[in-house]
Amino acid sequence: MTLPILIAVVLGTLVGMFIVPESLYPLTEQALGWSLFALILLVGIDLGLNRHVFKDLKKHGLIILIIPLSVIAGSFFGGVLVSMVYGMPLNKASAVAAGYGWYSLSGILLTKLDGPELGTIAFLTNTFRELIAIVTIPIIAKRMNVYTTIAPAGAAAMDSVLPVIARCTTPEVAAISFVSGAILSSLVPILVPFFYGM
Amino acid sequence: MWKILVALAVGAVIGTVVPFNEDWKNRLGRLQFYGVLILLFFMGIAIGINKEVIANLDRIGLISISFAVATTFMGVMLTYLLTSLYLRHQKGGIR
Repeated sequence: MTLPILIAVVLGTLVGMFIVPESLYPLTEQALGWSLFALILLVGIDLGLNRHVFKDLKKHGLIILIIPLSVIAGSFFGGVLVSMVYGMPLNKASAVAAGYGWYSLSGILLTKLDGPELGTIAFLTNTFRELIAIVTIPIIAKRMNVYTTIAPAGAAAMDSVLPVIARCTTPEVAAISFVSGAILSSLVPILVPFFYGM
Repeated sequence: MWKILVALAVGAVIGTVVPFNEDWKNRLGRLQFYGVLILLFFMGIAIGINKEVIANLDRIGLISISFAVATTFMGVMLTYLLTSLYLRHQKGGIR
């Protein structure tokens, strides 16, 4: 599954760089939005077909909290590590780390709070996080445990990366993934300014 | 976010109401896979079309990759550790 994914991203990037003119960017954004919309609809059908899963969610109640809290703490520690390596102020590094893969929002937030450079770092960091998630999820599903596949996705566990998780795991994990992604997504606009203001 | 919730809810209703057979379930799985590829292709275009992002991919890119790897790695390891501990206490948990 990983190779076709890599080919799709690389091919898309090359098409974006050399073929599609910059003026068509809004159209690309629209196409991205609609294809995401269609995919989430398919994931919804999948969840509907496996509706019995929701009845079992209660017994995994703690997992629903463990995953987003681990992502928050792990991302923070990762941010601390990078701040030490590059000599970046801890508040800026932890704010970038608190994007949890939501590149558009964290990029905009930090461009406004700090400037275009930190905004670009946040945008790229979280774009790369999503790409890393897409590439590593199939490997994590095989080598670790299925719940851990939700961690690299971060906030995207509820939307763009959800189809990948659903494909590699079970409908139950996909449902937990959505909840975890929703928790993290709702925390991004709160935690990015919070860490930046530290 | 509400659009995503609506799409998910509409899909869930379709999945609940429409009696899909196994053949159709397989087709939906394949459709989902190709949908992911199309989504990623458009995501690639969004990256490639942004000249500023491509031009700054050296210094800023290095810092960003470091951030992405470190935060993802720490998040994954902590999740793996805690979910493994949790699963150890769960009979019949998925592995």
